[in-house]
Amino acid sequence: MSLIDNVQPMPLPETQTYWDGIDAQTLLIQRCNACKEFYFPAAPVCPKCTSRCVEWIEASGKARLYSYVITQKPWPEWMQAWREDGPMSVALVELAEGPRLVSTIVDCAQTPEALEIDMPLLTTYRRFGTRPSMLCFKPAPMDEGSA
Amino acid sequence: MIQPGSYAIVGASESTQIGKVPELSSVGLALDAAVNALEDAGLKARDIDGLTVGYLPPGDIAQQLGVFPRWADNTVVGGCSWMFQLRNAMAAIHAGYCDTVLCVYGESGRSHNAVPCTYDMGHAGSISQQFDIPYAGAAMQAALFALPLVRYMHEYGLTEEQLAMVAVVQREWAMKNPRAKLRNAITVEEVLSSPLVAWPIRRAMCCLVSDAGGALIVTAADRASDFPKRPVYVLGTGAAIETGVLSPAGVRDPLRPELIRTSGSTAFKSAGLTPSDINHLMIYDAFAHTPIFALEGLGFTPFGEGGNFIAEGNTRPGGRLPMNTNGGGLSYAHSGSYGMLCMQESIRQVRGEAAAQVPAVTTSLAHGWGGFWSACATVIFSNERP
Repeated sequence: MSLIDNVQPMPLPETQTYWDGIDAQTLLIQRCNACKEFYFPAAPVCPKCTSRCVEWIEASGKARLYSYVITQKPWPEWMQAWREDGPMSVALVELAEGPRLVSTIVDCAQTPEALEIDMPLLTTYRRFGTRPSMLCFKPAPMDEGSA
Repeated sequence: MIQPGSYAIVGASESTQIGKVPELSSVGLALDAAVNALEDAGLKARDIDGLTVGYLPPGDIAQQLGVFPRWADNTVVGGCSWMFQLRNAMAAIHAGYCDTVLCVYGESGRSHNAVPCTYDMGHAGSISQQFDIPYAGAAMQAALFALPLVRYMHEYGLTEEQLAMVAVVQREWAMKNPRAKLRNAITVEEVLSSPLVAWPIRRAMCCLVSDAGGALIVTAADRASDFPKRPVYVLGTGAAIETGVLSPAGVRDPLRPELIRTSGSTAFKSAGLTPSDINHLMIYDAFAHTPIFALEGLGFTPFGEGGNFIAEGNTRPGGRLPMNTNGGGLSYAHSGSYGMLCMQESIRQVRGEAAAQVPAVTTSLAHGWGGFWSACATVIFSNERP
């Protein structure tokens, strides 16, 4: 299997709903009906209380930048779907609903000066290889974003 | 409950060569280290009745080494797998499943003479492969392992200069070790002018890429005086798993990871010791920030003070808590999974046979990582049985 095949995310039955949502540029996450906690990534069991009574919810799309690095290595060809060669943020993003996930910040200079810890973010989407869209985040306008 | 010092390392060795060893595969490195450990213990292959192996199929190693285990373990959680396996081996002896366990590691991390590997960091459909790897880029290891670091710097005020000092201090140790790959003195300025890999991580803050193997032999301490070398007693162990192999977003408290605190407190409790009882430390330094997080999580410093503790010289030659005295993954060797090499230097130090020997080491703690904040394990060694 070549690297490009291997980095194309392979949905499982348990995660297909998430990927269908992403294809439609909608972020679907799960909430446990027993403990009311949101969680990510998709799974049929709540990781907080082990309940199987969980449901899909459309996330608000609001988030904040929890932490990040700016990766500098030249991008392999398969990654240039993300952006042209050059520095790219790898971000730990905290959704307004609580869960954290790994993503990247786009529509923003990829510098420590522009990427501020706790800056408000909004969901956005980018094509990635053969996938029509992948979840990314962009800086929120001043009057939007932070929960 | 296993009492402190009930089990001992009676044989230990790395592969004859480390660094660039293109003439051997991962299996060859493992077999070479295993034979060295058997010779160190004065044992023959037939004396081994338990076998632990990471990444490689145990049956392949048993066949090629001529050992016939009646108990085996292939626990694979990343770089600290061999620390998990050492704990499992002690439990297996305790249970009566076997008496003398060989714990083997080999990895052709530089020459890539790999063989079927039981560790796949990115199975298609895994959490990492769907949700983490697509974002991690070409410097995946640095990016995912260092992900909490910028927030740590923001909250605790750790500076890039302090981060660079981790590499500088470990180079001071490497300069005393002829087997270390990098032995020239470096300065903070040189570290901070090395190429960026994943800001704020620079190349001189990243571990080496090496070929290496290592092996240990563990048995009951009551038998340990039958062997040629002074026994190295295992006083306590701990381990924890918190998140997917490459899924750091699953760590609940990224600046003060619970898995470190759990592994450390378990090891100290089982040993009946506290951090002040430790006089030598090995912390798996895949990147310069990981010793800082472990110093804090294990309780050697308060949270937020690990970087300053290193920058002030406490862990350098002559400091009060010598750490990573082989030069560490940054300057000695790092073949992909450094946990075994971490334990080997702890064992050399308590035996008194390290290249950069610290005077009067009695008790050494080794702490290793698996994946990127996925798993960790802690082992406390001593040359004295309580």
